[in-house]
Amino acid sequence: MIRALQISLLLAVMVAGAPAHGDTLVSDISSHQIEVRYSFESSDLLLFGAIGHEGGAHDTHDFDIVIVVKGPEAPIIVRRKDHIAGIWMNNASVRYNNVPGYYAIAHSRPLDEIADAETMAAIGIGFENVRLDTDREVGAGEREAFRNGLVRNKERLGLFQNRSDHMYVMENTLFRAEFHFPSNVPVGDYDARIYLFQSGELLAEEQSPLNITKAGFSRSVYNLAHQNAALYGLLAVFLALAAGWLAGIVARK
Amino acid sequence: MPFYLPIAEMSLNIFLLLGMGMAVGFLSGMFGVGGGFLMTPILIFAGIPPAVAVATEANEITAASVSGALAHGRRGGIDFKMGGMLIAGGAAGSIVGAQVFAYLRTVGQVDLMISLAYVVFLGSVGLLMLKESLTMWRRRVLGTLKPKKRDHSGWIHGLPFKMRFRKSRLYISGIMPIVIGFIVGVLAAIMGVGGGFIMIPAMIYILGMPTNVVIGTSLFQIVFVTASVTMQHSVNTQTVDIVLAMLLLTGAVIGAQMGARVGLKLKGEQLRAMLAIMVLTVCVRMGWGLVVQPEDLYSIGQVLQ
Repeated sequence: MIRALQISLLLAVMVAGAPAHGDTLVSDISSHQIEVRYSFESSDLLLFGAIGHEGGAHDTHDFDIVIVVKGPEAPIIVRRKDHIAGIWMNNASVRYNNVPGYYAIAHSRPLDEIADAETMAAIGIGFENVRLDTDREVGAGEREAFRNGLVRNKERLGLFQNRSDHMYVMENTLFRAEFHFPSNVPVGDYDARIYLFQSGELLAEEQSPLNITKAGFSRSVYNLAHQNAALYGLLAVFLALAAGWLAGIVARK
Repeated sequence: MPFYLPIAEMSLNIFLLLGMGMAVGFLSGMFGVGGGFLMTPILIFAGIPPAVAVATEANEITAASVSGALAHGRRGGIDFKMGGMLIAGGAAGSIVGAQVFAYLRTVGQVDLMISLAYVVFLGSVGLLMLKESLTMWRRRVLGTLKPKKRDHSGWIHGLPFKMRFRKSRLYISGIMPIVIGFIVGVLAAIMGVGGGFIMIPAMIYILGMPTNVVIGTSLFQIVFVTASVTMQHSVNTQTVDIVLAMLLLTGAVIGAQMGARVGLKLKGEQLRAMLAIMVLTVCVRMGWGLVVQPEDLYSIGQVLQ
């Protein structure tokens, strides 16, 4: 099997400048590209770095790292099934205009222990803090049900992730986090943000771009199907006729 | 070994896909049916989006039918004039079916329509087949086998635009084959089937075609109608997965050879009873998905224009 995703996100969090707190994050990624090939099943992205300290080791306690990887936004329809005439069918729906195609959070401790809800909301960390615009006014009761339904479906697909077991912080200096990308990840521009917290406060923030594309054979097939649909259809029919004819010859022997 | 399907946008194990193709190919070889009515539901149960399953299966059926159609053609088992009328109706039906399909997809009801179509058509065809094979079996056991007279539907001969179909030795209205072709074309587009299970009984009982040209003519029209369905879905919804179709076909070709050998050893009514039970099983499984409360009432989908 060709390993499609061979990428490590290298984050060198180093001493830089002289900010108020004396601790900063500077990051870099060794590769900014993930390619989805025909053998693409899923891949893990390793993200690692170090926390640098301006004033020596005197205040190196209780650092918390939160990393959020966010995919390109796209509109999504959430539908609710209702029991109508004895069968379950899609009925009410809500359209969200800007749902991140991928949203994964890795953190060293549970989010509510790292900082309080207001802080997280202000920064925009957590499923409940993803900004989602709907196409119509939704009643308060329904709003939460539909939003939860959206998050639940995205989590089931592995496209929304929230986990603390994949972040390792060592000696308050080194950190490492794994991100899992299932085969159904949307392509486009991604954004990895690393947040450094201490005692419930955000000390520093770093951002790194990341791009996921479909490459090779699978990309060609997808592009042809969407950009030149008629040609793709003809090709599909021709291939089927040729393959069927060939199979007939093979089978007679 | 996972294999990425570019249009379904998911990975499935390549051996699972080949195995599914083989299993359905085996059954279709054994029973002498196209197998679309089995493959499409199996693809859906395997997690392929229903719209992709239907469109891709149409593409696979073209491939699965072409060698049979050629073989029947060589033996003179195709009524090309009748086939042409059926295809004319079928092409129109596939366009209408694909439009309905595309519309229902944008409003989120295409999965429901696919399930309902399967329940209704497989349910009625399965029950008819089961009833017939049980009657045959009982007659044979009780020894009261009397040939059933073919049902000559008088009203067919009252229709205008009569044409002569030499190969089928028929002089009937051209309207009927077009209408039958149209219905089968619609079903092919919305169910991902060749439609033989409707076409063959219709040819025998409604049109009154002789059995020696029924299979060949049906395969002939299936090749063209599923090709038309493939084009329609490619252009309207981009749901045909060439890679998936080719993998399934590879398995199906191998499976069909083995199935055909096994099928020769079984009696006609045994085969028909088994086929009926299989058809009804698929129907019940599809229906089950409609009446049982889903685990999650909420589902998400892309916004389609």
